[in-house]
Amino acid sequence: MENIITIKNLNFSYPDGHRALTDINLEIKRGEIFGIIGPTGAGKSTLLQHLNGILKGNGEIFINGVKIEKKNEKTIREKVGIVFQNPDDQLFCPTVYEDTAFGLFNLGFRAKEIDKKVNDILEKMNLTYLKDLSSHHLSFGEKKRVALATTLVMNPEVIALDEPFANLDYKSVLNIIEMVKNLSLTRVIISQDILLALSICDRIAILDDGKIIKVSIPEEIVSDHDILSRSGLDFGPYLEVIKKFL
Amino acid sequence: MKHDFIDKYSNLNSVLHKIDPRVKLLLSFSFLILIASTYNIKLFSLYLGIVLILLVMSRVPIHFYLKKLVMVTPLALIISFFIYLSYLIEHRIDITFEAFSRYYPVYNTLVLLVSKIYLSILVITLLISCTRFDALLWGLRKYKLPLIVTTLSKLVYTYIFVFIDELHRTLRAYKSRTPELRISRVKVYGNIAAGIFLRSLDRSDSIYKAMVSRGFTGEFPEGNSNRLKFIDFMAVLSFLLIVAAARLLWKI
Repeated sequence: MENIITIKNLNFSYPDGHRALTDINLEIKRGEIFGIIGPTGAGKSTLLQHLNGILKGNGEIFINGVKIEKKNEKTIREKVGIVFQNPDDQLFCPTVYEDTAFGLFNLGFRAKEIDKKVNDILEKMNLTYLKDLSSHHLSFGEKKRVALATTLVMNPEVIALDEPFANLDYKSVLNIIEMVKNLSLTRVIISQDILLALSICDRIAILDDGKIIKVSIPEEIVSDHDILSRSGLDFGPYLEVIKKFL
Repeated sequence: MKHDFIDKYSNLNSVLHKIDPRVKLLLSFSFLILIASTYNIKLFSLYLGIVLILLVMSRVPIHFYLKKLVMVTPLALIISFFIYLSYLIEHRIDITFEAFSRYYPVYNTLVLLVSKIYLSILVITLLISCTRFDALLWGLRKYKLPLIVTTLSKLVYTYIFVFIDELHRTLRAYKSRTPELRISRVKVYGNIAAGIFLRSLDRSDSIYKAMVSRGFTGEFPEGNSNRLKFIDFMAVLSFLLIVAAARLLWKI
């Protein structure tokens, strides 16, 4: 499989001097579900925001072999869609319909095409019943699904999801997992929930303190207790605690 | 985040809601000019009658309009008071209790002024409650209002709710640990205000990033159709007919 995303020597520091990413090198293959896991503050969301040029660090990122640069930002944003962690940040239009249409308008689609695409995606994701509602009136799970729809409607080649399972109940998590699994595009998932990441991803990268410390398949990741415990991701003790209370 | 939007009734399905935003803007501003330039009380009654019919047609609950009138009342009273005061001073009338009980021609002006304020507020509220804020900005843009003004208005409109949202969250957290509000705790309130500001700034930044991520380049999309409908022409025609009839009737 060819690489759809290639990151070479990426470094990034915030204006306050905090170094968030150090020498990131990563290759993500077309069509795979790629997980980036790590503890809070590891730099996962920062890395995600580099994938469509919202943040710009030192280094090179290639999408489909095309380097992300100022001049091709629009094309890159068509290709890479980001679903942010907090859906309230992503949904700001008066209705779900308009929020879903927002990206398409920016891409220059005509009203008729937009109407068709928006209705199609809402129907596909069983969200038609929310179409005319304000996003402020939705449950958190519904907001997450709508946020996903607002990005999917743009028909990206890559979708990057920031903590898609955070703050969701069990049923909503399953719902999101099913949706993500059924998509036929490259999916990059950022999560600190290692168990969910292991269950859905084809390959996983562990990010700790701004550095990639391992990239592998879930089976290998789960057996590397040393790395997991070093990055605070070892779920063994967690299972022991659960067992103790059961 | 559940707030009262200024255009919270804009999704109703009345005849007025269906009129094109450009037509509504044109008619509303024409109506405001007519109201401002009218000194004939009969014409005023006609305008009031028209506005009342439109209020009913809008299907917006009447208490929404009444609230706006109540809100503007202090301003109307303050303006009236100062006009009255300047009249007394100008005519060298001693400001005594007796002076207040006498009739002066300025009362007519005051009644007219307050009526104009109320009527204008009703017209503006009618326009806002029957038109989505986005559509309103789109209409203004079609009347050549600079892009920077409409984009900034839209961003401010979005961010106001972010700010209110953060304000609610912070106050909820504060109240949950504070049984009663104390005015003496100025330092705490200062910290709260700073916290709200910083959090709002942070959220606004996240919202902006989410917008940029979906291709936003500084101009909000136009979702409205440029084509005027039959109902729009009917609205303009009705307006012109009413104005012409009133002018003929009272020979103004």
